[in-house]
Amino acid sequence: MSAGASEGPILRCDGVGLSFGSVQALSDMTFEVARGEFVSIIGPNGAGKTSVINTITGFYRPTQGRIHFKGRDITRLPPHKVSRAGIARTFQNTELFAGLTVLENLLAARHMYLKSNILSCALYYGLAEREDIEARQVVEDIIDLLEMEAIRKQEVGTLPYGQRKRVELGRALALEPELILLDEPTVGMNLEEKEDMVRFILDVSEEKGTTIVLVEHDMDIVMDISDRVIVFDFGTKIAEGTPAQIKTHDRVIQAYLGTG
Amino acid sequence: MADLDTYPKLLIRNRQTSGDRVALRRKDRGIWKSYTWSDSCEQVRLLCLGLVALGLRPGDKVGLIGDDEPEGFWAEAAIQSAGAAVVAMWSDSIPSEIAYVLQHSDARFVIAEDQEQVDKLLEIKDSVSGVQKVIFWDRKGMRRYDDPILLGFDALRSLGRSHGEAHPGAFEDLVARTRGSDVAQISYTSGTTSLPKGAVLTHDAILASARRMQETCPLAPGEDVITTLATASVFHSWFAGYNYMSRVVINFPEEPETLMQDFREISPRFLLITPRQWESLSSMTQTRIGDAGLLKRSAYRLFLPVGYRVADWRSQGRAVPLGWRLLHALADRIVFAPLRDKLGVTRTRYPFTGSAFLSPDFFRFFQAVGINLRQIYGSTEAGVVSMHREDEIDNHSVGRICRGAEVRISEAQEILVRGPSVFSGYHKDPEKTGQVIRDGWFHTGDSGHVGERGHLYYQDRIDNLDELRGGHRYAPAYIEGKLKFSRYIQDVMAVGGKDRDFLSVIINIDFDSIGKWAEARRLSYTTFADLSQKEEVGELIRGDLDRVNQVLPAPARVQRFVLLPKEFDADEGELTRTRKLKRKFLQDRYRELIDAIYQGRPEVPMVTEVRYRDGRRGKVTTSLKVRSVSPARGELRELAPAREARA
Repeated sequence: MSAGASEGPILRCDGVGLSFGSVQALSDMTFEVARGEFVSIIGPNGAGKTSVINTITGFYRPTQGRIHFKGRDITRLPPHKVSRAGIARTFQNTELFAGLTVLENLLAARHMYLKSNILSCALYYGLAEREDIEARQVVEDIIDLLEMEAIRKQEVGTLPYGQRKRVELGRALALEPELILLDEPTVGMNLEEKEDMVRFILDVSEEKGTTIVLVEHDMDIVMDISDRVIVFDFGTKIAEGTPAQIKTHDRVIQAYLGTG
Repeated sequence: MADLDTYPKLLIRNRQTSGDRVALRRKDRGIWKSYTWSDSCEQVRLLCLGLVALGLRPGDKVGLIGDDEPEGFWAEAAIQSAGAAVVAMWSDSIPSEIAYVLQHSDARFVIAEDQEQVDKLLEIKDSVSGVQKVIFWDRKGMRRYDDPILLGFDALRSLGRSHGEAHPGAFEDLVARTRGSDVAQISYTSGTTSLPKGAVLTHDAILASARRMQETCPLAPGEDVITTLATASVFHSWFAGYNYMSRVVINFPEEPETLMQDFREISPRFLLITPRQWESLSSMTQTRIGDAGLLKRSAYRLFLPVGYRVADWRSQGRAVPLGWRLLHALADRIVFAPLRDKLGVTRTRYPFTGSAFLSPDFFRFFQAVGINLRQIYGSTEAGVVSMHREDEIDNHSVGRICRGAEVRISEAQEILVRGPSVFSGYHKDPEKTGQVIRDGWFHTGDSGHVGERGHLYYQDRIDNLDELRGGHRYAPAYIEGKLKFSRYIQDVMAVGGKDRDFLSVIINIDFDSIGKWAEARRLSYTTFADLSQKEEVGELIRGDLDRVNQVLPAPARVQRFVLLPKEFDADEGELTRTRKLKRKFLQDRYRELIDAIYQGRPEVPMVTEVRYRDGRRGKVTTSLKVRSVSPARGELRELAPAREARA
């Protein structure tokens, strides 16, 4: 498939394997994602989709293979260094500060960009002030993009589920990543919330040009919006191609519908 | 530019006299940003010249659709500066409605807010061949749109800039050529049953209404208001007059959803929101109080009845005893003032509601917490007709008839309006125009009457009226609504009709309030039925009827009433599930009672079937007293003097 930008793929997984004791969660996972591409990873429950994200972002250490991001080996990097390198993620079950407002949650995500020292922060002078204003600008742009103006100052814990997922996406964007890994962003949503979420993800892809890897259970969503689809089952990649190709792929149909 | 008879002319005047003062403010990215008169005028100039460069000519029409944002506001002025007319559409219109309006108005351009509106327009562009360009101001999500009919605001502005360079002074010349008698906008009414009709409004008509608002509720330059009305609402155009004529600063909320938060930050001096929004403010208060700590909750529970009590006295025009006045001052300090602050109306001098009915409960609630809601009566076709002045609030009227508005009540009790604010007619529909404008009077389709002090009383749509034998028409729902203002009355049904000479009412007392009232007077009672037939209770309700009779025209005053020994019950089919009366059913069910009222019998035995909680049924016979009210008594009493206004 076309991973073929001249500067090479933004993300490359090369024979990655992950095992917990004798359980093989992933085996020989090999795929590439091109810059600006919208790739979806699908598969039935327990196929190892979330493990892919956890392995890339450093939450799990792969037992085999290498992961390259922008040509740099990030296989053994801890999560905070992976995020500093330019990869952000969202979680299947939202992981936000429930007691902080939406705004504060997004600002907290930007702490890695803050460099000013304690004195400057205490006096709110010089760098600290400039950084603070810049952080707020970035965050406000995200609030505008994701249409969260009305909930800006609400505590995240009081928000309905669908909106919390939106905040999660916003928090990931606040890192200004080059690659976002989305872990089932529409799980548990009703149809309208799903459509909103998909629109926001597309906006992010179009407006910011961010490369997106979407892990999703819902086939319909994936087929509508992805450039390319990768299918997993039992920890291995069983198919890869355009949505049209995947729809008619025998092994995919088998994995989803079971063998006749 | 001698006559400042159009908004664009006023805009240029303001640029000259107050160029560096704030004209508009908008919340963007969480921060209020200001635009001076020079900024605003420059925006309008570029957009106007851009449109002219695209081929817009005087007399053309331009569609406008989107949420109320400064860009839309400037676009309106730009269209009018070019001598063209604005056709504003509701932002939630569906594509087929938009197509109809654009086709019917012969719009040549459409200015739209964002992707949502553009998508609708692209869907129908083939059916509206007259539209040459769709111009949008928010490009979010539209990176991949490449339809040649689309044009962004930036592109339009740069067209305007180069046109302006090629033709210096072109904008000022165009504006100078606008005339008050030109068509400024065509307002399409949302037709619930038929196709929308386009009401044609001249600059003169809009300015006449705007002037009335400002005469009744004057504001000084630099004071703040916030837009709460859709662009397509004609109130919005009148409201804009505060900006152009009085140089009041208009604030634009960030998003329609953030309105309630944003307006607290502004605390607008003049606030016109729909009954629905007032209701939501009220329910928001209840919820917040419910969530508040014990101390705040108890203070609220303790003092709210004080507010109600004092508000009741005042609205009845009675003097408030000194002790209560002191208590009320305390309550205001501790509970109501902080509450008004939370609601964002601390600085609001003119809280208004219009366009539909707000239920009495909400009026009473807001008055209890010190927000003296006023009403404005007007329509697209008639313009602003009446408003409450600051010192003349009266829950029953829709305000004093404004200077310049001539009002007459027809034989059929229809409100007729004449004057400069009346519209010119329906676009391309002389037949419909002829139906509503006859002999120079606009027929509103509303029924009402003019009371003392020049106040206008709106009753109901003329179609909902009933008629007495003498031919006098009355509005049952109106009379019932007025009676329900009393906290002692739970439900009420007005009875009359063509074969009866006068009106009667059948009333459900409010068992809780009257029960408490009776206890306070050591009046013993056993059941609902017993309480309802007490002489004292009859007197109490008679007092309410007297008061309501004062605001009714003499022939439509209530003369007899009966207090039912039971409540109207949805389970028995007497009410709908939303607690509306099922009149026909009730008329049949209580036929005997109603007949007795009109036969002049003082008492009627009524057998009611009761269903006990355990499922058994029983019959209870109550002797119902038929009481009379003297219809003349209302007139003898001094009318409620105007209540002092809240500072």
